Amino acid sequence: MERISLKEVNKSYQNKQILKKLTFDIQGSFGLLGPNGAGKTTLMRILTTLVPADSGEITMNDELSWNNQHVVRSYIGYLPQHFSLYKNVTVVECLLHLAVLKGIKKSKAKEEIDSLLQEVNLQEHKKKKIKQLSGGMLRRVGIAQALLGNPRLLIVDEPTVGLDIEERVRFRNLLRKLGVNRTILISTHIVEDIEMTCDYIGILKQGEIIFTGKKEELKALVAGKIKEELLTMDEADAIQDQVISLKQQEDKCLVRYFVENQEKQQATVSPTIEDAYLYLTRKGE
Amino acid sequence: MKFINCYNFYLKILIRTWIIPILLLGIFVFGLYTFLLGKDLNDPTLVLIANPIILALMVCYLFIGIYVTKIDEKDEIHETFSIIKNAVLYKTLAKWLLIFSSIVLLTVLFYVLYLYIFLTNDFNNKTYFLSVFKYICLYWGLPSFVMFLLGNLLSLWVRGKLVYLIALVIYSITIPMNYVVFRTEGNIPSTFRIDKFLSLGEPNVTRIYNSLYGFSLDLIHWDKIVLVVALLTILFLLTWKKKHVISQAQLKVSLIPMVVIFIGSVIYAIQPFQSLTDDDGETIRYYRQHKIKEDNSFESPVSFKKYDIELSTKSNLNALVKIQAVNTADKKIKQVRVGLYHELHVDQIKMDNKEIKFKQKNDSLTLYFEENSWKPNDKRLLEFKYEGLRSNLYFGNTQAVYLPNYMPWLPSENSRPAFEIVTNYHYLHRVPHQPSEKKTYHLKVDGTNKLFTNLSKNGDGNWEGVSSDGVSLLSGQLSSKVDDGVRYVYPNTWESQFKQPNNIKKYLSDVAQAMKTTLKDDNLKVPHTIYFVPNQNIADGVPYGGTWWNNDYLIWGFNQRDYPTHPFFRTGYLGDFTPQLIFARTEHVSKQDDFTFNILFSNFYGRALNNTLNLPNDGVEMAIDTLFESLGDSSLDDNIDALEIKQQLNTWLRSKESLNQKSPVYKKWNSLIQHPTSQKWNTLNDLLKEENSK
Repeated sequence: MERISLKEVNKSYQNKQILKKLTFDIQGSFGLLGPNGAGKTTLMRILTTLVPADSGEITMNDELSWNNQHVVRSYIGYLPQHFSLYKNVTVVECLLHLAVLKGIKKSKAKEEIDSLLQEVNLQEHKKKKIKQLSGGMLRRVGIAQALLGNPRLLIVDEPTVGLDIEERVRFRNLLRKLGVNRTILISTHIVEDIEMTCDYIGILKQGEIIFTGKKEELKALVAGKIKEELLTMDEADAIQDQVISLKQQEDKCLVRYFVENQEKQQATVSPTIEDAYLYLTRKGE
Repeated sequence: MKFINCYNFYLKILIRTWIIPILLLGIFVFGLYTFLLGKDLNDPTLVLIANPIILALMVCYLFIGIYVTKIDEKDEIHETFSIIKNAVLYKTLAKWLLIFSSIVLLTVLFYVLYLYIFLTNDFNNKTYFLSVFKYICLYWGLPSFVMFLLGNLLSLWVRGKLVYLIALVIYSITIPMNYVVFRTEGNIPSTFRIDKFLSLGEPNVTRIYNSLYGFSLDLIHWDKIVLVVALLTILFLLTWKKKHVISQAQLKVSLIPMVVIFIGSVIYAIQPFQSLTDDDGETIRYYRQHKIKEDNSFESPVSFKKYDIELSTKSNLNALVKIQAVNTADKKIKQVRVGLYHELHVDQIKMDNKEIKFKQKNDSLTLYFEENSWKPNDKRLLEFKYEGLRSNLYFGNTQAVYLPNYMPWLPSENSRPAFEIVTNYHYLHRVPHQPSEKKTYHLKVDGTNKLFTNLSKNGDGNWEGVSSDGVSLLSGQLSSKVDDGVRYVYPNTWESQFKQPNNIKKYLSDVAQAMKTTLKDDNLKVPHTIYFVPNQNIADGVPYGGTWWNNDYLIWGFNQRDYPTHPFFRTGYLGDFTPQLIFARTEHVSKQDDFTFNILFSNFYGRALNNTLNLPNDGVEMAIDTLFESLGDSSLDDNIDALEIKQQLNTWLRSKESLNQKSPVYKKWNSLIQHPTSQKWNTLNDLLKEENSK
């Protein structure tokens, strides 16, 4: 599996620094979390070579530098956030077009497309035009095109945005499966996507990476700091800065919140990724 | 492989839009309709020059250009392909080739359609039909492709719907009819016209086809397209670099040749050249502004005996002329005036291989050789180097050559202006400049394939001979045939009119015979060559300037507007033409070029001749009325009462004897033309008075 290393990567737009000296490694199935405006999309665009970094270094396995744009591109499969293709062309025609452009011979491309469509469960829809596909199907076509040529690094930007629950679950399972044998980078602001598909997590906040590590390491950061209990609305309002989630239950609310006070720690619950993410992103606000 | 894949992919996309195939099919059907309309009008040239199909093609390809870029420029598609190595480049080039091939296909289809409709047994000249193909390529095909590229570039630069507005503005200023937008239609006396500069189509859309020059297919118009395509490609390359579509190395490799092509085409465009324009008023404007009073200094004291002429007829006329000249005066001369058309700019003059000073003003050159005065009977070698020609009456480039003997395109002893503005109606009159004695000519021409001349061919590109008629050179969209001993040279679009030209010969023979008998013009005969050329334009006013009846050949001029939509040489036309023929002959034999005196004779005598030849006189009588109206006191001699001579002419016209071509009045009148005196108007007046009193 490939390891992508970032060293002091900076990027500015119109005098505003979007990414600040990012230094971390991407490996396995890696989820990049962060609130809107954290710089995720900019980082993804740099990693996909769509835009160059202002400074810093990115390498694959300490060998291949991102300065070598054309070679890097041949190792990458990319599913953009707003993926679409030409409306009047069928799924197979689109994929074949992309496969040939990626340098796959036509005869081999047909076999590969068949196998990928099987993998993303679109065999039955391969002769449908792009305009006839649902949002979920289109995302799966996106994954199929990203996987053409068996790239060493798969980059997926906001994979489940706009999908219904059923499609979202199916898509997460697919990503999980794809991450088994290759490095996959998933950027999202939906914590659930990461929780179900990634082993490694990076959290980006205001252009800085505030955490990288395994899922368990992230959860461990907030172990003993999460409590869940029934409170009145007034009580919940009193601790609103600490609230993680709130569910209405008759005249009271089941409130999940961070505990700052050590004495109350006996009654804590086991933390989730979302708890840790919120804990880290709220820290210092 | 990648390229073909992209080509086929975009072909599918465009076909499946439906609207684009329907649009192109619609344009083709519309083209078919206009061609059939042209067939009904029997004018195969009009359907090309003034066909609105170019407007449809240009707008169609402009929007196709926008569309095919827009479908790829959506972020969701652009990003997917941007990270595939060279994908955007392959896709863009494939789109260009696809559109270019669609344009080639349409061009070929239109051409095949044109051949199918207009190619007949009577009208099948290869040169003409080849020029049609070039025309369709240059003015229908290439502008469409340029519009496509423009649309493409615009939608790379401008996002959203604003691009359509900008595209419409660009369309309106680049179409051939953009003079409507700039309000510059008509003959604007300006060397720079913004509408012409920006137009991507036919530059002379408002003028009718010139059957000698052909379509406006000069290299300069091809160069313009090359220049625009090179400029657009440079802009594309810079845009692609900015968008990371190409690398720095790719930019360098592709930018350098494009910049070289661009600079080359700019350099070519700023070189002097001659091309057909739609400004027919240039010549008449020039001579209105440069009126020259006639005096004796127009006749040179030297005689030119032998001409060695080297011509290059490429982008414009370049000439190197060596002349053996003799001082025929009885005294030394230190300067001499010779005639040369003002559009020919002299670079250098040498005398006996030494450069001498000169001054060029209007249609004359003054040569100065104070320190080396020219003794009587002394022979000298004069060498003139000059280039030029720009207006629409005379040509000297790759596409057409029209340098007739009556025009001073060679330095001549006669330094009178080439044209004169005559009568109250400001008619443009060609002042005769053919030599009055035999001269030897050696001619070498580079740049013209098929040249017609009165000299004899002596090897490839060389001609020579002795002639008292001067030299006439013609080339262009001309055909020739020999029938019954007469060689006919005529525009290839007039082919059908010369299928059986014996009626032309008979007409000329009758006119020549009658004139020879009555006017004692012993040299007059049916010429062995007849050049039928459109050498007059709308500025001429009257049709008396273009016909020239020399001893050996006849230049039968007609107006550039004339088109053989019916059998042309009908009795009506021939009747109208008789005075022109007579005038042409008087111009040849007259010792004094007096337009009014000669033109009146030509019409009066022509009327009588028509009567003898049973040709109608309706046109001639109308022409006489017009002439009477146009004659002012200044047209006549100072010592004659205009009213009185008009009255005498009118009375004569109403007499039966005026229709007798053998009448002594015509013999004496002709004698006054051949041997003019200062009292010729009074003599004519007395003659008419005497005849009218009988």
